Amino acid sequence: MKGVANVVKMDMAVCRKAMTIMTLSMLLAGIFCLFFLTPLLLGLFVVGSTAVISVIFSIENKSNMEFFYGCFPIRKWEYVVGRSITSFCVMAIPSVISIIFVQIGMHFSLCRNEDVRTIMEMTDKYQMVIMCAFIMLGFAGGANLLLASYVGKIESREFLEVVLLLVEAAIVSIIFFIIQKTVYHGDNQKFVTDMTGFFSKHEVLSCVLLIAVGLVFLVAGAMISLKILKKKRI
Amino acid sequence: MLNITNLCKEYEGFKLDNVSFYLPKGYIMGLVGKNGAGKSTTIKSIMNILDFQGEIQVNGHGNIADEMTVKQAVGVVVDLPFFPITFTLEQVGKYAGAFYENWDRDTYYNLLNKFGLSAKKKVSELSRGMGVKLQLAVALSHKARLLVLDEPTSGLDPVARDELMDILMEFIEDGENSVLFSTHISADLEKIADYVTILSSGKVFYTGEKDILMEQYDIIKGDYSKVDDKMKKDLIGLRRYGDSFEAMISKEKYKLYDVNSFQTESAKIDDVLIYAERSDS
Repeated sequence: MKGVANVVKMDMAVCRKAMTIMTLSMLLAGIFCLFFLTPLLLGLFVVGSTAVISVIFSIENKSNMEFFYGCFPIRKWEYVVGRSITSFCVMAIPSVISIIFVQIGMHFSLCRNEDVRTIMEMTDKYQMVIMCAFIMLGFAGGANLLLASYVGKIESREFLEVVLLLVEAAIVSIIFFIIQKTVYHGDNQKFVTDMTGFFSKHEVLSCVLLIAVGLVFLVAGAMISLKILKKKRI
Repeated sequence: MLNITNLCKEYEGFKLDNVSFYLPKGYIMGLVGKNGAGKSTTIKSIMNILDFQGEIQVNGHGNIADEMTVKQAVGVVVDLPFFPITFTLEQVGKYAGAFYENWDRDTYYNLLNKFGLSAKKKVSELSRGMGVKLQLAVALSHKARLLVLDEPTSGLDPVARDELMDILMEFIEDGENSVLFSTHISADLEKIADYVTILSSGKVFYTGEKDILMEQYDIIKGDYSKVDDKMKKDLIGLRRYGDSFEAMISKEKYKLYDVNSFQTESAKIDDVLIYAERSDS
């Protein structure tokens, strides 16, 4: 277990700067999202966390670290478990901080639930999708500032990655828009409305389900990763 | 200290074929071969970084059965430092050192000072020679018994190479430590190696004491018409140039032939490597 702890400490040290930037971004996003859709926070965690995880992996890949984990006295399962814990912490820490901030904001009437409902009723779904796209684009841009910060300067390759990530975020937003225009029509609308209504009323259950699904993915990823490491080697 | 027996590893187009050699305590062995001969593959096998057949023992411990014990005792130096490039040397010591039971923080900082490395410098800011010194500092700070270096002098200037050789000589002074370093720079071998293992196309051409190797082979040149079929079998890396030829032959075998018919000179390590490769191609 000491090996696992050492891996986590080292990975967290590698991404400390990126984590700080992302946590601050999440705080700002949390405040911003108070005025629109609070469930969107979870989507933002995924975007930001993915960026930080990719920073860790990018730095370690660039650093020739497969030799490190091969030559140092650390077992493969310790490496995989440590990496999985780091990945979870990268998502969990800013998520918890942001949720706390949102609760504080709501408590001090920055945005009460009824205000959110009112805004949702007043705002056309099309406008909400556009706002989602704006937020995702903004955070995609923020994630790429992380890339630029560890690279040191924006070169053409990294600039291309910025553009690609923005395009990805735009595509996701367009998909949301299409879903809204197609799924939310006819008989489908009732089913979707019932489903979203259920999850809106049971926010805690929604969060627990999302976390459970995330944990399943994390554990499955760790087990597959260990199997590949054991089988393939460097 | 290091005992490799029948090491085999196969890739597409390459095979490490029954490589065996022994490095005793208190000595330095040079692992020589051209690019692609299998030096790095041998080193990776020692560290159990890749699958292999055969047996590898470090200080009596199997490198698979007692992998953690072996890795605690072995320090590795490769061409580029394998620490996060965003780390300072201070962070390298802090986080990498945590993996070792015998980590000595004071030794690490003393070595950084001795090597002229600032603890505040980042890994990404290190030159090639500094990167090698950093890896050495880490290896020496966890009391490694066996240093394994993969082409450590490649790309270094003569001053840096000389410094590295001095460090290695100092490391084996107590007679309890050993060094295995792969290289294709014969000057390094001639300076410090006690033992040499020559790999040629995945096989061991020679393994043993360097001094014996230096006295074992001659380069032979002369009139090709005087070479009979029996002699051809004893010639290594035979090349014909019109009416003349050149090859390598062991001194023992050369005594069986008419020594006045040919010109000979003692083969150096580079010559042995070249002619060994020629014999395989």
